[in-house]
Amino acid sequence: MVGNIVLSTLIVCIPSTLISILLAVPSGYILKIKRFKGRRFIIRAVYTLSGLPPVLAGLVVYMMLSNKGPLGFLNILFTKWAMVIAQVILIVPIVILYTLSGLKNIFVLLDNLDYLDIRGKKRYLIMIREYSRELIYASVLGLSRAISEVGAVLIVGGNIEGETRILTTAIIHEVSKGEFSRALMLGLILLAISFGFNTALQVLQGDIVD
Amino acid sequence: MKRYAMLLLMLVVLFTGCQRLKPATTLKIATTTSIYDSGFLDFVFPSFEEEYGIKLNFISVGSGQAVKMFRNKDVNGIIIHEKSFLYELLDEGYINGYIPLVYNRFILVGPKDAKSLFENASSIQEAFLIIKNNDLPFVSRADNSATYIRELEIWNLARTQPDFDGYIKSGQGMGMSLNLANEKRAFILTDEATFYKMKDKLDSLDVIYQGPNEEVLMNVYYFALSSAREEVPIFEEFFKGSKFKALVEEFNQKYFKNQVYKLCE
Repeated sequence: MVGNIVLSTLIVCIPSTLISILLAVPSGYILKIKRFKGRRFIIRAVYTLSGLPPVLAGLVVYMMLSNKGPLGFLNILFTKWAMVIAQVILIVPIVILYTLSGLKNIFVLLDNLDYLDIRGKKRYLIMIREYSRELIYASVLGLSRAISEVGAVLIVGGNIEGETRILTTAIIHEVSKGEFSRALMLGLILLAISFGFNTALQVLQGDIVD
Repeated sequence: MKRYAMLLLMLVVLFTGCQRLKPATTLKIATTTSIYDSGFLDFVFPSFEEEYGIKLNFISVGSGQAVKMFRNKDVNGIIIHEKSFLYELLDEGYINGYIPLVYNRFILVGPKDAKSLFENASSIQEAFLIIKNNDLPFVSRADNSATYIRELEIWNLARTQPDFDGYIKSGQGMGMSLNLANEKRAFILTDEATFYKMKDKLDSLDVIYQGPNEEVLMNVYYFALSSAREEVPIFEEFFKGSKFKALVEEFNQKYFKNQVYKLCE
């Protein structure tokens, strides 16, 4: 039972983080280096969306994917796909913002490298290291939001046992039944997974950056 | 090397479980929270799935939301305990009929020490009036749930409005509202199953009033399938069969030691 919930949690949260990184990092890069009309407006919008209440994201995705909605033909409401979509909408703005500030650091570093006249292979290695570090931080940030989020996935997933029940929605379910100790146990598992991921990413990072 | 091992591990975790075999038919059923939270559906339906090869995915929401989902055709079936919703769905052609599943009764629960106040109450509306006239704390679900609709009906029968200071609107499901009533030492209208299932956690609450014959306290759960589906006879066969009867009995014995869910004749 719990094993199933943990598995579903990973099957939803890891892809939604990966997809978000794939979408958000290039977008952040373009927003940082290209100058175009409406750029400031987009950045302001991204800031606003980074504080999007999950229930609102869930409601919008629900209405889009409902049979009455424009994407109803996809027939993916109350599946893990719907949960991934909702989470991507929540994670992307946060990762874009992070990319913007991460690139700022990297550009400062580039100036320093120019100043110190570091070129060739050494310069290349330093750049790889810095980009990887920023990417890993962005992943940690995205995954944290994905794994702790409940409002959106509850609405679009439906908390179906063995299908769309993940740790956070299971906690809500146990609380509503008054099973507080079971809810707490699930919460501890959630924290343990989060701790595991952070450790794993730190090991990854330790390999690249000291 | 270590990081590649980590990446590999993550990918393996990612893709396991993606390719589980699915049974031939899967039906999505929106169900009211009270019967789901009691564990009844998860107890009874696995043997249905086994026998007929139809998998049921339950989505537990308030009755109001369940009806909305059903109208939007986002679910194939519905389990609710508010008949007026069913009449609407019948009128609009969303369903061709409905099957009564099981029933239990609504009861008034409240702080143990207040029991003596209600000794002379001969109906649920009298009990409600005692609460209002003494301005005692009362937790109302205040959502679009069947239990809340029933509560309002009782206030109507009592020819009064719940406009006293002790009236608390929780806006939450049955389980959480019972917790709230327990903490606040308040009265609350609940169905028997949810109350008895949670009884050992509700140390300050006890049954204050239960009427064995009052129509307004009858709590029937109905099952209905979208008129677009053809599986209705299968469900009828299952609900009328001896297997279902035995499962209901077994569930009552296991969790209540009492006949809480009763079969609809």
